[in-house]
Amino acid sequence: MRCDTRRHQPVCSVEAACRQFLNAIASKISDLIAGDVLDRRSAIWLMIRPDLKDEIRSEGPQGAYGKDSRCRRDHRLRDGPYAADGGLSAEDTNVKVLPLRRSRRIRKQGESTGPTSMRRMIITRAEKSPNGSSIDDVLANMVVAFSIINVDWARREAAGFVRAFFKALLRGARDYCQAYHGGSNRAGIVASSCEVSKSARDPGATLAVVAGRRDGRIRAISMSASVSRYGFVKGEVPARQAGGQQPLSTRPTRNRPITLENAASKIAGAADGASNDAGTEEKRQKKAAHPGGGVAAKRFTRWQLGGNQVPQSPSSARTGAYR
Amino acid sequence: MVSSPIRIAREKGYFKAADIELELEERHHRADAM
Repeated sequence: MRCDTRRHQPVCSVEAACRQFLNAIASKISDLIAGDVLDRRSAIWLMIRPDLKDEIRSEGPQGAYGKDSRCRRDHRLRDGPYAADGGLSAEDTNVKVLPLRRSRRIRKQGESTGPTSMRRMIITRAEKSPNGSSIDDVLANMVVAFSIINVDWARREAAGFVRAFFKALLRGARDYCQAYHGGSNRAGIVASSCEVSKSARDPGATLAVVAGRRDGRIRAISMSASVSRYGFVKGEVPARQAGGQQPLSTRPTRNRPITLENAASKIAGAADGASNDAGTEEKRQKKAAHPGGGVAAKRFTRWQLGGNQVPQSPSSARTGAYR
Repeated sequence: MVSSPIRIAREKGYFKAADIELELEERHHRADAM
């Protein structure tokens, strides 16, 4: 196992990517893990059984289980911050889990091979969610993307390429964040999103919060549970090999924090899932001290994971810039 | 709605600027899902 957990760590241990990740480790593949995770908090709504859509109005509990209709395995969808209230049970959910499939191929100009990003979709079989989203919206919005890149390949011949790829990716992420906070590019991003998500028919279309893990830690218990649950991971993978417990906030970084165009933005939980954290006074105070930009910067500390695989001193975190 | 940053980056030409080709398969998953 050569995955250096001091430098490489997946964004989260969502089961969507967990199996691939663990298999890569079990196969002794030297993997550089870089991930971007997109979902929306309302996804939990979409777990609710259609016939309960008029009865359940709160978010589901942590660890709500759905039934994987294809694999016939219980599949825990989320172990995130949704446990606070709700009270749903397995009987309240009706979820279909799609197989992980290759979705993107990236390569340098003139090359025929390259790393592949993989994506897994988790969707509901409900035609309508309680919040009125259509299945088209669900399919368009619920994307969990994870990039798994061979370290040997990257070090040998593509270090610059991998860095450039994630740099470009993060520029897109920052554009989204600016739009979400009401920046000048908002109209363009909304229009573009409508074009893809088929939500153009919704005149009130808005950009959704990009939810994320709050502390960037690997959930070793969750990952171990995934191994036993899936049952077809190639070998035993000790949790400590699967990323450890180091929070992503300690990752070396050189990308400067994002500066929002709309500094007045006070959107709760913006691009950070921070609204999930709103329970403590300390966090509220911290949020007030750094409106908008602070929240966004926190989020992108995680998003920039893939673009910062080269160890750097902490001081360099404040000096780099690419835009 | 959530617009994928990777798609935004492609539309903005960030990948092209970095001399990277990017193939995105979009919306094809819908048929699979249903």
